[in-house]
Amino acid sequence: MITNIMIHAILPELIISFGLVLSMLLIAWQRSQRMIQFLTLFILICALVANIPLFDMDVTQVTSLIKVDTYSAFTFMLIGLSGVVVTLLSGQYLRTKTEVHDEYYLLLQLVILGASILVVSDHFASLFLGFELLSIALVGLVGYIREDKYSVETGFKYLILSASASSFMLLGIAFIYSQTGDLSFVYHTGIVSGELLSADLPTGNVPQQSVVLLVGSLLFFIGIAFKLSLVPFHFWTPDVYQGSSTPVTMILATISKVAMFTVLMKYWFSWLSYSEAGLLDHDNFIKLLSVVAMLSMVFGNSLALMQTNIKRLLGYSSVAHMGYLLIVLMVTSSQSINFAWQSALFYLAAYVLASLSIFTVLIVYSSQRSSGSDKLTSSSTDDDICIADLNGLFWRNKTLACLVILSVLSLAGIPLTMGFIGKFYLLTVATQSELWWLIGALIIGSGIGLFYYLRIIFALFTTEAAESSVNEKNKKLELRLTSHLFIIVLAVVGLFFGIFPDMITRFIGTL
Amino acid sequence: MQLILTYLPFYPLISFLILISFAKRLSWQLASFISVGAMALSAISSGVLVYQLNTIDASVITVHLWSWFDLSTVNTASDMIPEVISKVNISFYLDALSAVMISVVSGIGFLIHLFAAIYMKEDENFSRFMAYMNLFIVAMLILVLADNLVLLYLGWEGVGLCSFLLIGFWYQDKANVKAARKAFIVTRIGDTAMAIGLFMLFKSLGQLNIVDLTQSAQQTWQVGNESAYWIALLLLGGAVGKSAQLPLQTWLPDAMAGPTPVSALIHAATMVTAGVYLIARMHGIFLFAPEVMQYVAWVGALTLLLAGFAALAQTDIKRVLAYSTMSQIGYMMLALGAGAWSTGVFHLMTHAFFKALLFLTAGAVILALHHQQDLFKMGGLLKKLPVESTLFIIGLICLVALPGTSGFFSKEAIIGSLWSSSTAGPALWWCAILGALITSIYSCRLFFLAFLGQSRFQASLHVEHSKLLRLSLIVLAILSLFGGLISIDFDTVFPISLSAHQDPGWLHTVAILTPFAGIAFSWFYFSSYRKNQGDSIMANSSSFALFCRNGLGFDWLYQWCFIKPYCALARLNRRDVFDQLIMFNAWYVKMLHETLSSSQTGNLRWYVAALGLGLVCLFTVIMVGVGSI
Repeated sequence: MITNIMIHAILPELIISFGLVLSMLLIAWQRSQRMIQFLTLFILICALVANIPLFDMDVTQVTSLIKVDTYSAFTFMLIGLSGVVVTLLSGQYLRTKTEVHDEYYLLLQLVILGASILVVSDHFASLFLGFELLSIALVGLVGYIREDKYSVETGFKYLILSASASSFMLLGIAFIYSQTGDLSFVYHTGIVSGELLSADLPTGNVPQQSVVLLVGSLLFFIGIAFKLSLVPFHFWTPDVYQGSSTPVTMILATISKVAMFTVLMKYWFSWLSYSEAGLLDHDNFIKLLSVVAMLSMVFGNSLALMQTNIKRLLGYSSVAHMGYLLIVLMVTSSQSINFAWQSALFYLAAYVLASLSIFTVLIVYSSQRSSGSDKLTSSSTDDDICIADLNGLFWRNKTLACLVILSVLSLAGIPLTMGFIGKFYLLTVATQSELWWLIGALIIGSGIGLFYYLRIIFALFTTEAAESSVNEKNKKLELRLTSHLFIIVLAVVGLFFGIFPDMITRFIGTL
Repeated sequence: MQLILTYLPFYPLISFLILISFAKRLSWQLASFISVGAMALSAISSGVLVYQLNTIDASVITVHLWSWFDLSTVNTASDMIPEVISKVNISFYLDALSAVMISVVSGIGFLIHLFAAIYMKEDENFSRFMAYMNLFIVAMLILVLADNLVLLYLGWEGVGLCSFLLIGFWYQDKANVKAARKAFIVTRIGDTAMAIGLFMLFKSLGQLNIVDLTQSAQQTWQVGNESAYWIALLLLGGAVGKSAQLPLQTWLPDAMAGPTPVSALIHAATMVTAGVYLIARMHGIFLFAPEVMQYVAWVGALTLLLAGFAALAQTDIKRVLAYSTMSQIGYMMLALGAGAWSTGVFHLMTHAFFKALLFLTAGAVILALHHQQDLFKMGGLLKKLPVESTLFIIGLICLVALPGTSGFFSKEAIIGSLWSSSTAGPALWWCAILGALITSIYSCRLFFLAFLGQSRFQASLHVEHSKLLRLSLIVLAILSLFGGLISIDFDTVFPISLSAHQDPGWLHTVAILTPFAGIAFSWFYFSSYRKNQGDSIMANSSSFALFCRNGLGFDWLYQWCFIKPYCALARLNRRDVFDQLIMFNAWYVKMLHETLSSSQTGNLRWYVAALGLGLVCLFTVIMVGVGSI
């Protein structure tokens, strides 16, 4: 029986689904890029508004498929806001190309719908639904600009790899189902055949059947780890980041990562109930996770070290950031779960804001560059921004450069940025759980990271121009007023929350 | 009353901020009006405060500005008090001791500012100079008014910084920069010792507030306590660094590279006496370490003899005065070591008067001689600069301590307190007498060389007839002559001296007669200087004289013991070993990067294979984990 409260709880998702239908009707009626963009924005803002009351709501179970709580409301907010930014920038990005792009916005809405279903799911069925909505729509988006020479190749890579990951995950879910007889995240006592448990528990041995559960969970984890691009499933990241158009990369870096990580946390902390029931050896899995986390931190940062392409560099850096985030999963006592959630959400917020900022700069910069130069034909190279392209940006456009500095410092975790506070939270979680190895890896990773992050900042102030386009470098970079305002807003928000992190922590703390 | 105390350090601070912000945009009139005006306000406030301090009963004025930070310590010694929280406040504490100090600092500071405004008029960085001088006053006032040792340390470092900035004020000349650096580094050695002393003090008493500290020391310590010994010794280390005493005395003569008002203000009247102030302020700690009190006395005695011998052989007028400052501070230390706290502080005050006078007059003379500082190129100035000469004579008779002058009262009091003191004794008394003899000899030598005989200076004199310049000198001269009549009641600050012993009667007679003996000796010994007919004379260049001129070889000693080995070590390690190790890390990371990058082939089949491989790896890890249980 679906009650009024339940409707309220899933209102954002309903609005987006309804908006999708509306968008298709709009396309049938009139194909106009400006209108569809406006509609998408409107839908997203409606969904965000509908999301606001959810912060004050108690945990609401909507059937067994969906559970809405304040954590999911917060992540939905992050997803929705990223969606808004992506929509705004896509308009500018796609306007520089010739075609009308209605499908793009449809796919974008589908991605957001998939992500929002993921964050509220409490059941493997809804999880898989959201997962596939997100993945398939993303495949469409990644390969969207088909005249681009990389686009199709990237689309294929993403499709095949993502399909493999999904199949791993599906197999994992099947294994888990075979052991628990239930598809919901939370383990309900009594569903597992009682005789197995009662027979084996007193001896202290791990029941034989729980190995299947363990393997199932591992396969499930691999599906998610692929999306989060954790080592050793990170290979696709730089290629896809580079090959997709920049707004799509932005989606990959923000919406997809946030949704996947949230659902992983939801599942993981529900999973604690399995281990409390003695069904699983939790420690073993934690060891595995720590190895993955440490490898991600060190390898991700090392790979980014000498990278010159900024999008690839950010791809590698996302590997490392997801590795840092895994720390919160190592919390074992159920008392500190709340704190782990808060840390993870803060870190995600910081990471999303920094990624949005730097990708915004890339989009604005590349669209400005392609409209400025008369070489409109070479559209494929517009997206490939190297660090050397940013040389001397500070002297040509101070606002843009300041946003780059701010976001890069935030990613590197320098004080007075959100990234620093986020990293500080992670360190607190790690010290509380006494995860010294992970702290060591985090420090080493951050140390390596500083090298390539600072390289970007150095480039901003270099006066020597790249030899290819000397005359282009010397002129000032003028921005449209709207982009200018947008950039200033992003910078101010980033700086504000960096200096007053209390504003967010107080907010998350009440969750 | 408390408001006056609160604002006292802020006048020069505001002036400093204005001057440093507007720098060269300010005209000479405006800049000097602001800086000297701020000093005048400070001086007047100090005067009011000293007057009021004498009229109220409490004999102490405190004012709490704000709380700086909290210190907490886990008291391991006793389980009774698990945690002690000690507040470190920005608050000022005014008693008779700090009252003397603030009146010296702001009063003499005001006169020297007045002098400096005219002396430095032609300098293009005039307002920067005055800004530093103001900042120095701020730091010095904080130092003497601080009610806790952390704030005191702030002022302590602040005056060190200003000293560095002002010695190297004419930074275009490399020698000045070197002198500034030397002063800073040598005093830093003492500062470090002092900082360690403060840490130990906090560790053993859990307090840094000076009044509470003294009380809790009385409750917890016995005389001869070991931690008291080490703390007092370390504080003494800080004091000898700042006050240029043995063995950290080598920076002071070189510090004369700074402009003359700086030498007068910082390196004679105020900053160098901070060490004396520190020991006097912390007498509550020193009383528990009688051995260290003996060390203090011996440090003072040795320094005063050493500096006296060095002063005998100098050729630069300012260096003579610098060594004389050193030896006079040696007297103060001697008094402190003998437990005669109030006489030490009294000598600090009178010395500030006459030494500021001597330096400023020397500055006026140097200005008149177009920055000629060599004594052997002067001569016959008595006739040419009668006013300056008279003032200089007044300064010298105070220094020599002829009866009736301020120097006489304070120095005789010190010498009188030595014989029967438990931590001093007859040996130190003889040292002090010998020092007094040498003082009168080098003073006479200085006077004969510079002012008597015929002029050895060729060019015409450049005489500054500024009334303000003269005014500040005359006020200082009056203070020098009659400053000894100022009586200060230190009974509330220091323990009353217990010595009721009867000293032998001949002691005072000897002490009073010593300076005259010195003058008589010099009259004959230096007659060639006195009767010089304008032909050039050379300084005595025997090896012993050279040895004395170079400060008894301490610079040479330190050069060989510390500086040369250190530089050799630094040169040996030019390619820093640790740097190499760190570069090895960078190389390692780069290798990792290259190895991993080669795995990013861009081939889809490899990526899918890697996905499967990753699965296998993780599967193995987890299976091994399960199997091992």
